[in-house]
Amino acid sequence: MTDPKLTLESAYREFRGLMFRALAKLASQGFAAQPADAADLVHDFFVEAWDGIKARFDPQRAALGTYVYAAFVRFARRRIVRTSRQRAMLLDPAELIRLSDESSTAAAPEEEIDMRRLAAAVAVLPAAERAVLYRWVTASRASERQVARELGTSRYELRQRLIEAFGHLGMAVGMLKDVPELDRKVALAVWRDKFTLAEAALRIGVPPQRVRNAYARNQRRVEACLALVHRSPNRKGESP
Amino acid sequence: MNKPDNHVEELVRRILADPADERLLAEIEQQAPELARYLDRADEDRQVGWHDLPDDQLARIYAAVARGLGYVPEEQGAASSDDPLFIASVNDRRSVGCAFADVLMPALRLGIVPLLKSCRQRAGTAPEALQQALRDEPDVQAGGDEAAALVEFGLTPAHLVLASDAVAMHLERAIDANYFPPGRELAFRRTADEVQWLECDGTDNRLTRRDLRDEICAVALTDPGIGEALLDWTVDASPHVHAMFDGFASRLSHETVVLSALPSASRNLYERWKPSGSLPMPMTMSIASGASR
Repeated sequence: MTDPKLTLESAYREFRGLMFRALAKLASQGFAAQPADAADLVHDFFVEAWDGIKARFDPQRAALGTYVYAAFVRFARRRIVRTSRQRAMLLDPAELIRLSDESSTAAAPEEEIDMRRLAAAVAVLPAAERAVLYRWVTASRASERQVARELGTSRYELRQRLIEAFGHLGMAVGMLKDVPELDRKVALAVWRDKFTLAEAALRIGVPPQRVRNAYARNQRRVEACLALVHRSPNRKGESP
Repeated sequence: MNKPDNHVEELVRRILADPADERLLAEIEQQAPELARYLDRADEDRQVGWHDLPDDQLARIYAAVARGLGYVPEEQGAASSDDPLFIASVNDRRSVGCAFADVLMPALRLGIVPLLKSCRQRAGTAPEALQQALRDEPDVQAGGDEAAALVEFGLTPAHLVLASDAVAMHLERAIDANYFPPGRELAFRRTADEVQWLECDGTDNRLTRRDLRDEICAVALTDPGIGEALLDWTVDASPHVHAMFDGFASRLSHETVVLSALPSASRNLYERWKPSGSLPMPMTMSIASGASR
């Protein structure tokens, strides 16, 4: 019988195979984690849930492996469902670069909005969200995992913070009254109302590619605003 | 000694090229530690091809990795706990709560917030004695904070099942009685997210909002205000999950929610409440006359 006093490191070695077995079962049930996420799920389970597992485990009721398996299945399934939805909301920076802009004659995004007001909205974001937002927006071809590591967090947590950051900024998107109507609608749909890009396309009534292009323009507006914040002499020297 | 990453990358390339190759599974099992390390370190750019793998192929690959990492079911006891973790029976209230927390809530953009808002607008709160009793119910205990929030209006995750099943059974009876022609799509017509009626192409027959609400109230034992809130919320949530209404898939088309029959019904809530397989379809049709795009 497994020693319930296993350290985190030894438990990771002992139960990692068990967790991939759980991921296999979940995938066969329609809850498939992509391999990149699979590694993160195993890692995050040990980081986030292991202490609670050890505290609650009762050897009279089940073997530790059985308990760990059940706990991991519930942990992973929740995360898989949430991640699949969030993935549809956010685009990897590399993907955004590959998108083609539908209108080369459109005014540059920075010219369409009051950048100072948007900069003010960014400046009052919680520090963790601002840091994540700045790093993610300015990453050229860096992967989410690389950005997450630089910030000392998991990819999942990175996405969570990005969603929160965009949500907060979305509250300020009412200031985007002079941007093209489609861009404003997409910003509200995705950042305020938390629709995926495909759902936004359906609600607004335009093809998904136009929504993706509008989202890319909005992303550049945020990036320009962050650059303005970065250059601002009023910042107290805190890193982005 | 660790194999170089290029060796593992070659294995990955072969997996993506022909995931059904049985010989690859043996190689995956042999190189499981290296493959797991590679997946842990590799950028997502390199893993784009995995998205095209069918779920069953991915499952076999993970199973091979598990064996390669030393998973032994007899020793680690996982196999004996399989079924309850993967079958959330509508007749088992604890598993209803688990499915609610683990699958339904993460799949929905706003969770139960719209339902709670609608309940506040249409009905009063439940008596405190009832709320206290419901808090002890196994589906509420297992369902987390969102399940606990339902209790304010005398609801639990089980009520969501009862409400959606009430609608589904009513539709089945209507189809069986030829009130709606079999095999035709059905549509919930809505105004401002409120269900007005359900109709079917090829017939003038309808189920009104009151018909559907009364069915929910009779099955779920709720008052009319709560019944209306449940009707609107289950319809609104249905395009985002596989089969909110047992035996029917839903998709959104403008403000209309279109239902089509599934090959089979399922009593497993993990299956019914998992996210719908495809994103909402572009608006290409409406089965009700006069609908605008």
